[in-house]
Amino acid sequence: MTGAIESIIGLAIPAATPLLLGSVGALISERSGVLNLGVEGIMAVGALMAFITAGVTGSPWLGFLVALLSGMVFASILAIFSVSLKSNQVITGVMLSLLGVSLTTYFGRPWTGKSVATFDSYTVPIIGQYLVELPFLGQGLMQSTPIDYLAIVVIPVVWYFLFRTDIGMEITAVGDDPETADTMSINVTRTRYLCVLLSGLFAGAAGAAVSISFAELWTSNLINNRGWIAVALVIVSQWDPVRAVGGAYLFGLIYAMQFRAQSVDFASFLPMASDIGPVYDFVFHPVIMSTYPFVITIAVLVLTTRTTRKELSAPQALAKQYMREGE
Amino acid sequence: MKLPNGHQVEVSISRRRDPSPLIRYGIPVFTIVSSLLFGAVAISAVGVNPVVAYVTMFTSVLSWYGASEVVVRMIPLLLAGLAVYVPLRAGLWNIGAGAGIYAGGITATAVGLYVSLPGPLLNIAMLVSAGLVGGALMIIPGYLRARWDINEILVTLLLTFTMVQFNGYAILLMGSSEGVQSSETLSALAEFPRFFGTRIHLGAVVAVLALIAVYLLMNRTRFGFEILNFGSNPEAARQSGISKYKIVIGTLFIGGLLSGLAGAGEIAGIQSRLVPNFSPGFGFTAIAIALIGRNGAFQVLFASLFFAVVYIGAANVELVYSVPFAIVEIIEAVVILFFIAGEGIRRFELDVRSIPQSEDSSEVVNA
Repeated sequence: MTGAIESIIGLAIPAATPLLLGSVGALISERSGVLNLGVEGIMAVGALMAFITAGVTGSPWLGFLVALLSGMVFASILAIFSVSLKSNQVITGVMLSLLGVSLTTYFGRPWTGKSVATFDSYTVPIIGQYLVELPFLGQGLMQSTPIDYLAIVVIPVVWYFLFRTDIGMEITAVGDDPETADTMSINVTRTRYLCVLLSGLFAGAAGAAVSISFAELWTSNLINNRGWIAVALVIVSQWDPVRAVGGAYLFGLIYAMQFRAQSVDFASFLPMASDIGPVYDFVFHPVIMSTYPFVITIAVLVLTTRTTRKELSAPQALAKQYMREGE
Repeated sequence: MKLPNGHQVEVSISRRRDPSPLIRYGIPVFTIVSSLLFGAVAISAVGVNPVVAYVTMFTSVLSWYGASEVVVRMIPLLLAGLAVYVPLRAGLWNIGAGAGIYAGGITATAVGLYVSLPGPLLNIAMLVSAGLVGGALMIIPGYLRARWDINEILVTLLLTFTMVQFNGYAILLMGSSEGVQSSETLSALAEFPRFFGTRIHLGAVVAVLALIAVYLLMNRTRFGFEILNFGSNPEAARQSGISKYKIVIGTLFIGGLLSGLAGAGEIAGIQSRLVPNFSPGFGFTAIAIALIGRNGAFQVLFASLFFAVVYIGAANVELVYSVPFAIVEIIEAVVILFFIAGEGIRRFELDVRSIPQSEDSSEVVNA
């Protein structure tokens, strides 16, 4: 039983990394009022660029760097359309996702099934060799790839950036009330560009986390809705990067459970499982579990929005184009 | 931004008062031409002559068989396009046509497999139940939007992914045996009849009837008038006594109903059994179709024709020159992005002026 739990947690932690990075990216952009539905596509581009670069140069770090850059370049399409051309953010985002997934399917075909240099797992220095013996969590927490650690380490940085710096305050102001922000001489356009590009950076990193850290392969459907789950996570975490950590690991756990459902009998953890046979079979069916991230998100949307819009933690100007008076 | 000569560059965007004819007629041409150029770059990147590929793409649909396949592909695209179009006229985005398609396909399979009715009644029962279940599913985002103002875009999008996964579960429930990735096969009675020795099936009749019904709804009924009113100004519509619940839930219900019909057609008309991913991106293509055809039901028809031609043509190009089929989605996404960019250019003008800096005295003297 300990082994089963360990194997699930050991899979949940690396599975959560791309979700965490992707949702932090979507979150930064949404806090400035730009809904980024292109995360799925940006992740696909980042994943393929990282994979190709790692394959050509033999360096996963270089691959990671290229993923960051290509994510930003690809996200700049969203910035130009949604911020400058004031296009509909939903359509632009969905089409950007479609474009990213189809472009990588199209150009990634020669790389399918190839193996390239990927990130190795490291044991955390000094404390790692002792803590790795911890029951349940030890393996997953103390023996992971650099990207898994980076995803956790970057969260306090993002939190500080968003809530304790002047730029972070400006981002919140632009996301909640661009008119007022503009009158206080905050450059709405520049702030939103910055946030969309940062979100591309994170989504690109999330893509690299899938292709050269977690799955260590390339297929046309590699991202497999992780980008959409990341977008959903922003709602579950209520636009707070610290809560996004909890959400990402919850969704990572769901992924690991559905992946391990064949080999692990969850009934052994639940004393009453035998009494509720059919319900148990339904609830813990791997296919049904794969709908949980989306169902949970709808439930969170309902539970948190049932009050008036004012009390929502969502940025007030989310997905609204900003136009100056007279424009 | 400062230039080396000390001039200040000022970039300003303002609303275009009166778009010139060049802009009005140039933009659709620009959209098509630049999308095809972008596609040409992608095609030549895999070592195929793009001119040859495009000629194949558009001539392959000119044969009797090719044209019939275009019609076959138009059935789900038109129905799903209308499913996005109706809520769009009320200012609502139905990103969940895919959810309705899966709900309809699952329902049609269940009714077709487990209900026995004589002759054409079974087909009608499959269509009606698929439409109703699709519509019922869309009442969820409709109610949430009307009651608590929960963003319908997010809920419909989330429902799509939920239904894609749930489809896998439904296949297992109605599966013939372990390890087979499809449900049991429908009986000949449950399959939709096909016409003219082609794959054009009963769904074509349904799609044409739906098109006429949507046209009449939007142009000849009070409800259609209220939808347009609500879409142009929800607040004014509310004050003139139009019920928000009626419009929001009603249009999304119609959207779910139409996409449910599309799903029934795909299963009973083409696949004959429930299979995974039987709606390859129809829901997203439907957004593109509704966006291009948003001015009227018959524009939706033409937009679905265009995308059906690209679909069928690209399938042939893949067959002949092994250009990956993903080229369809590339062209589709690029068409929409250029279309949106064109819209932006039509609505706004960009002014880039360079202004001499006043505080920089030497520059002022030089100027």
